[in-house]
Amino acid sequence: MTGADRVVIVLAALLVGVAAGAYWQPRTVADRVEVQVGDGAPQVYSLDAQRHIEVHGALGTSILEIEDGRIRFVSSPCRNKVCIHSGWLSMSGDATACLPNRVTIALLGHGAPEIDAVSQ
Amino acid sequence: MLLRRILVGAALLALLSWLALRPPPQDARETELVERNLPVLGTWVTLSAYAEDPALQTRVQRAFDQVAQQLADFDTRWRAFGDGTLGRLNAELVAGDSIRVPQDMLPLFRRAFEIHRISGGLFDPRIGALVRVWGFDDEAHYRESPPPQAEIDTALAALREAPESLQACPGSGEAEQDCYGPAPGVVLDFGAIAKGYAVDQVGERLLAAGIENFMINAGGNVRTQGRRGDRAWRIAVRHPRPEIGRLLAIVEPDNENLVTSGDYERYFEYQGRRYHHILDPRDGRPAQGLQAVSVLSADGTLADAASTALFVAGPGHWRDTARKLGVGQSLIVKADGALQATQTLAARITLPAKPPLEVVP
Repeated sequence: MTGADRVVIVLAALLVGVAAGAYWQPRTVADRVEVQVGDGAPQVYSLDAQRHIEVHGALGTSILEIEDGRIRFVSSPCRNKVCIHSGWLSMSGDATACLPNRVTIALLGHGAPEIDAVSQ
Repeated sequence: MLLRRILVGAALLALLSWLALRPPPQDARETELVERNLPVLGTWVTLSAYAEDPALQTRVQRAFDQVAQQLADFDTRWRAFGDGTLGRLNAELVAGDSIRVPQDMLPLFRRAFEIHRISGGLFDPRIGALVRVWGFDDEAHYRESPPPQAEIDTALAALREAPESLQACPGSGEAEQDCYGPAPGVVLDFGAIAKGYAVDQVGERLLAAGIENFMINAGGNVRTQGRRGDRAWRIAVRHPRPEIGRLLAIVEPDNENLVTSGDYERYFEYQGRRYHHILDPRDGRPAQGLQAVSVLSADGTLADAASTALFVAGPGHWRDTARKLGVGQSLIVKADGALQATQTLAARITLPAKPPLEVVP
C-alpha cells in the first residue's frame, strides 16, 4: 500500500462520514413509546416486541397494545374513548391520552420530527 | 505482508460500516427546543419555544411558568359550569336573572356575540344547554344514543326566546356596562371560541416576554410564531378518517393559527350513525355535510369560532360564511371525503397523499 493509497482511503472514509451526516434522512417512524400516568415518571417501552401493557390511572386500568411497531389503547375507563378512537399510532411525535384516567402516551423516534404539531 | 493487508482492510471495512450504519447524531436542535405540557382547557396544551441561548431558555421557562398560571385561571373563569365566573353567571341566567358581564370578560363576550351576528347565528355562544342535552359538555355524561327530541326542542325554544346580543346597562359608576338576559333556559358556552382566545393571549404574553420563536398547541388548535431554527414551524392537518390516512395536509403557518373542527373529536355512534359534538344551533342536532374544516388566520379567536361556523354552514354555504367573517384561508373535507380549499390556502398546503383538491375562489 503506497502513501497515495492511504490518502485515497482516508479521503473515501471522510466522504462516507460527511455524506452520512449530511444526507441522513430523519426517521419519522417511532421506535419507542413513553407512557405517563399523572405527574409520575414516564415509562418507556420499545415498539419492537408485541405486548399488552396495563396502566393504572386515576379511574382504573387502561390497556395498551403494542404490535408491529405501533401502539393503541385497547380499553380505558373513560366514557368517550377519545384515546381508543385515536387508533394505531406509529410515527414519532404521535401522542394520545385518556385524560380522565390521566394516562398519556407519546411516541419517540430518532432524528427531528418532520412535523411539529397536528391540527385537529 | 498479506496478514497486514487483511488486517488493514478489515479495520477499514469496520470503520466504513460504522460510519454508514451508526445512528444519526442526536439532533443538536432538540436541545434548543424548550417544551412544556399543561393539562388545561379540557385538553393538553403544549408550549414550545426555539431558543439557542441558555439565558433565553431560562427566560422561556419563566414565561412558561406564567403562562401555566394564566391558563389555569382562564380555565376556571371560562368553564360553562361549576364555581368559575362563567359558571356562576350561568347559574344567574338559569335563575331567571340578567347578568352583568365582568370587565375582564368583556372582550371575549363582545367578540363571541359579534361573530354570532356576522355568521347569521351559525356560531352561537348561547349553545350550552344544547351541548348539555347531547352530553358533550362532560366526559362523564357521554350518551350512547341521541337525546329525546323533546329535550332538544326545549333548548331550541329557549334560544329563540333569548336575546341575540348583549345589551348596554347602567354600571356601578358613570360608565355603561354590558349585560345579557334575562334568558331562561339559556346556558352560555364559549367552548368553540375560548381556546382560540386563550392562545391569542398566551401568544401576546410570550411576545411581550421577548420570545420570538414559539408554537402553542392547544389540543390541535395550533399557533406559530417565528421559526424553528433554520426552518419554519410545520403543522399537519389530521385526516378526519384515520382508516384512510393519518395526515391530510401540511402547512407552514407564518405567525398564524391553524384551527380544525371535525366530526371525529367527540362523538358516539348509534345504529350505524355518527353523532358528533359540533351542533347546529338551528335544529339542535350535529351539523351535517362536512367531515372537517380547517381555518388559517392571524387571529386565533376568529380562526377558532370560524372553523365551527363554517362546519355548521355546511357544503353549500361555507364559502359565503367565510367571506362574511373575513376568513380567506380554509380547507374543507366534505362528507364524501372530497377536498376543497380557498385559493390562498391551496397555494400554501402540501397534500402528502395527493388527493384531488378543488380550489374555490
